[in-house]
Amino acid sequence: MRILIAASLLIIVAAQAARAHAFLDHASPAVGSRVTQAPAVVTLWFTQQLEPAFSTVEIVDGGGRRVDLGLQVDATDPTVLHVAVKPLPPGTYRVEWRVVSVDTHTTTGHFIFEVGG
Amino acid sequence: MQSLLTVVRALHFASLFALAGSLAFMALVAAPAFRRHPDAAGAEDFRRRLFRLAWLGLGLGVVSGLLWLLLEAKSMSGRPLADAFSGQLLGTVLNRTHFGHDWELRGALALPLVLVLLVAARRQAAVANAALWGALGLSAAEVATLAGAGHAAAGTGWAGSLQLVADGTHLLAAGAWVGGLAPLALLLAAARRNARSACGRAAYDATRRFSALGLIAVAAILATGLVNSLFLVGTVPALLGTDYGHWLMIKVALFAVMAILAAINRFWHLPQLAGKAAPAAALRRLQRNALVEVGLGGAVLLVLGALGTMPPALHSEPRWPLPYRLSLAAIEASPQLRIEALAALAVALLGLAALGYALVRPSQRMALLIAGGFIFLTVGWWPLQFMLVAAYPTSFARSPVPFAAASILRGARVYGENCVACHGAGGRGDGPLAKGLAVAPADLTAEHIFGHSDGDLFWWISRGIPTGPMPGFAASVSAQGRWDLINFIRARAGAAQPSALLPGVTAGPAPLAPDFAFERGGRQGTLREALATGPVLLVLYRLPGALARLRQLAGQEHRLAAAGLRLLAIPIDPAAAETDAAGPLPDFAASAEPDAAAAYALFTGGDHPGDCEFLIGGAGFLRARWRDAPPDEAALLTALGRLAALPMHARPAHVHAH
Repeated sequence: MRILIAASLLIIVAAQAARAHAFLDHASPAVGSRVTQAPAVVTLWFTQQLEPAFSTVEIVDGGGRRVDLGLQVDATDPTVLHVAVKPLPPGTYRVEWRVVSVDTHTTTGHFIFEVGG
Repeated sequence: MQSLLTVVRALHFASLFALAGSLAFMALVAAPAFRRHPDAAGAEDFRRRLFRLAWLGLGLGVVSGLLWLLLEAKSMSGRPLADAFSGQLLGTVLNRTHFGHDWELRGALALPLVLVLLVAARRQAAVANAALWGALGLSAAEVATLAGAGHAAAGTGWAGSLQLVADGTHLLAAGAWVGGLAPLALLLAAARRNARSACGRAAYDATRRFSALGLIAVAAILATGLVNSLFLVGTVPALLGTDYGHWLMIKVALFAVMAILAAINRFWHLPQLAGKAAPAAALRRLQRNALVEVGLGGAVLLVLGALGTMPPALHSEPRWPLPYRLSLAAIEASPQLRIEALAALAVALLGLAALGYALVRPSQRMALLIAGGFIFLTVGWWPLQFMLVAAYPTSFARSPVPFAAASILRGARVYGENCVACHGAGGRGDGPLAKGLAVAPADLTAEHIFGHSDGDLFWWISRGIPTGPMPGFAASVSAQGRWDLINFIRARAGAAQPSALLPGVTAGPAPLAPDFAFERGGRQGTLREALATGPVLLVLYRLPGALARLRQLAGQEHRLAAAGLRLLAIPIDPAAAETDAAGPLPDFAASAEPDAAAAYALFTGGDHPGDCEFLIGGAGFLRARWRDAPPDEAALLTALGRLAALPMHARPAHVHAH
């Protein structure tokens, strides 16, 4: 019985464990969403602590022009990146991220969001 | 590039294992054995060879460590290797990454290690002995800090600490055992050269001590390896269906062969050395087995090098390799079947016990073996047949498309274009073509939908069902379109469950609330983020009629918040909302993405045009719905109390985690 309890504890621990390799958990504006008000900052939540020195986020408009101004790691949560952006006119924006997690692994991905009029 | 990193990692681990392993062998195994047999010839010669091995490990460790740093700098920065030689990039890696800090720590430990090793390698003296223990401690620290350069470094909180401690212990135990095998082979070689002196007796003593050390190490490796696997693999599909899982199984198999060889050494060959003169044949076999184990240990380290560069199984898409999988659904559904299955399991275990008894009890062994085996196999099979269900390569695939309003609407379009003809507009399997089909199309609103995993549904939609008329849509609908379709089917089926969407909280299955983005007071958020702080009352309103209700809720907002309920209101018709607003709306009124209200129309009940309010639990399930007559404050507080009292395992109609 004690072994069962210990085993189930371990499984719970495993289920709560932070994930190795950082993947995008969610973002604001949400992945694929349409917002009516242009955001001043795009925020990305990852599943794991990042190495800010080697993590990059590029945001481009429909014409391929860069609109991101600078990348900042959240002061309290090292899994969160804030990207300041220029004033965004209505259109579709593509966010390309490349992050290195603290276990040295690189992951990449992209998503779009729309600013509607 | 990946293979070079694999080899360099393996070489670095092997070097540090050789360093720490030979020092541990010296301090814990050889020195006590030679103290008991001071007249053993060849002791000093063996000591010199062992220190040569330790120096070799240290030297190779430094070279491979530098190579590892360069390769990681290239890999992390994504720049060519030539750039890794620049001071700036290396400085960034060393000063601003976890890997760099961990690497610097090992580098800093190497300097005092060289000094104490120089002292320890001098002739036997009290100071040399103290230096040996110092060198052992420093080299053990070198090995343990390797845990900070791998997947274990990624954890957070106490679970992360447990993972680091488990991995560090795993490395220390492996270093003591695998790193001690080469010294053991050296000692046995010395004993063969000096077979006539007391060296043979010393080798016997040392091998016994090493076996005891090995037993502890193997137990520690097994226990901590299990913890690591739970963190990095976690599930059976991840073990059987990913590259990481396959390589891990190879590693475990190699480890098992090593452990069996060690057991043969301990219980078969070693007792033959117990006499006065060690028999040359037993010494030779012991040494050969130790060398084979060294080779196997090298193979394990190569696998380790490769595993460290792969995404852990937990994060890879598992491809289920078997035509069946275990499912307890049938047994859980029928109490009688559950009792029968438990009884069968008990009888099968009795058969297994008889098998075990036959192995220790020689009399009537054959009869016990046959009877026990027969009972175990026949009775054990009986409950298994109810637990085996058909499975497909994608059975355990996780949907890459979140359960969100936009996806559900896209899925509804895919459904309209591809599925209506047979499954019907409402999904009840009553489309215009249904009558002419040999097998009736499935009712996609029935509860059975929730008995199938996302991956099973994905397989059937993609490949069709060979035993019936259901065709595959892999060629005509994109993968994302198929996942969208699954989200739509699940949303509609969730709304169709009889226990769902009642004006009050029940313990029955509830549909999952689709996520959506909204803006409120200039701030953007999603429903999922809002739910992170607790239950939400979602109000779908239409102006100007709903204005009174919104004001009423605004008056209650404070007390509801104190009870743990947050309010969120979104317009049913976003375009009309702005023009119709007669006066300011409360703070909890948000403008949502247009898809949100359209997707929630699935849950408002057909063409219901009026306002609708949903109580959404913190876990994200639609636990109650009010139409026409909105709940008063007392009703809301009652519902909230019921929500808090729901058993943790109250089965959602939807096991779908996003």
